[in-house]
Amino acid sequence: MTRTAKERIAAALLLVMALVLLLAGGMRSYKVYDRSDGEFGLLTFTRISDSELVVDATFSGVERQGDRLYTTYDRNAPRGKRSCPT
Amino acid sequence: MLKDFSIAAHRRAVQVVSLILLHSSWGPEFKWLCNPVLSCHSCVLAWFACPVGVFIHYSGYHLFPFMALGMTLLLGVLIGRLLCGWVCPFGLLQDLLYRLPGPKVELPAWTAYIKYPVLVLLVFLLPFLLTEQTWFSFCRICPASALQVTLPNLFRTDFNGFNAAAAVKIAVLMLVLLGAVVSSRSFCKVLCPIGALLAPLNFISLWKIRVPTQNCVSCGKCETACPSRVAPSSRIARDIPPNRDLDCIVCHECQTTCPHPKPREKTVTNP
Repeated sequence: MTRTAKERIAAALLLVMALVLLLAGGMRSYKVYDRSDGEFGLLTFTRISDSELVVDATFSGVERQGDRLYTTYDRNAPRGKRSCPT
Repeated sequence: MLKDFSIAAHRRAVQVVSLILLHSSWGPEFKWLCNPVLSCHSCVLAWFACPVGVFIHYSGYHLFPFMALGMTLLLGVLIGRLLCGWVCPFGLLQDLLYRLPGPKVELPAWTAYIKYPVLVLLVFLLPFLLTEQTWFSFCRICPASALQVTLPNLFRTDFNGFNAAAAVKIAVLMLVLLGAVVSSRSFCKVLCPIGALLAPLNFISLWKIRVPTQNCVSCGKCETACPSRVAPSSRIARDIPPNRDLDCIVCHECQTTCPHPKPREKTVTNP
């Protein structure tokens, strides 16, 4: 097998892997809990998609505590541009 | 006139247009999409997310970054490090700074491997172990973040927000800018975690620079033109695309400076 053929096979495999990752990301969702305790101490959460979590990652919109992700802002309020957290 | 508009000029034009387009968000954003160039997504004018910042946060969340890794991998397989050479705004800044007069140095070859532990430690491992808000993440020393976010914020607040974190970022930025003046694309070569992510994909990317092997006269012009100093002639001589190198930024300078780019005409001999 020539070098070019090996390169093409590796590229095709990685291309498929990239598409699988994008597809998997498109189907995934995460529970993001509210900070405030709900009624009777019940935890309330919102389900967000992977792409929404990517956006949250750009302004530290989510924090992890223990095994849970907690929101750092009010998700019901209208969203505008976010400022830098650092 | 258009004929004289060389590929170097084309590249510079694309870099400038990219700089403007990447930082012109007036409200709408595509921050769910990672664009693998060094441009801080915390910049108010940024359209896209920075894969490094997203990886750091996902590591802190203990989650796998499906979309961010998928997009980076997709672009890396399609075009390798072409984005480093043609789109990255921090690359443009380094290219311009290197044109300043002054002493120029070649970095030792081993320094090109520093970016891999930087990627593993400051982007994945330490944020995973110490949460995404750790001081030991790449975002805390990112020169693009210092330039696009920290400095504008300091000027906006009359330096009221100046603290140790800002001082560290600005100090790193100064060192990186100084390095760019004395050594071509030094940050890309030594520290850039996005470069480290994309570098291995250069070996299999579908984008290939084609320089006809049979015409090579070993003049060495491609070696001096290469901003990454990756010795393209050694691969051209072996009929391998010159961009099959970890540190090649796919600028096409080697191809355009080649004095014999066209294949020689075959001579037909009578039997």
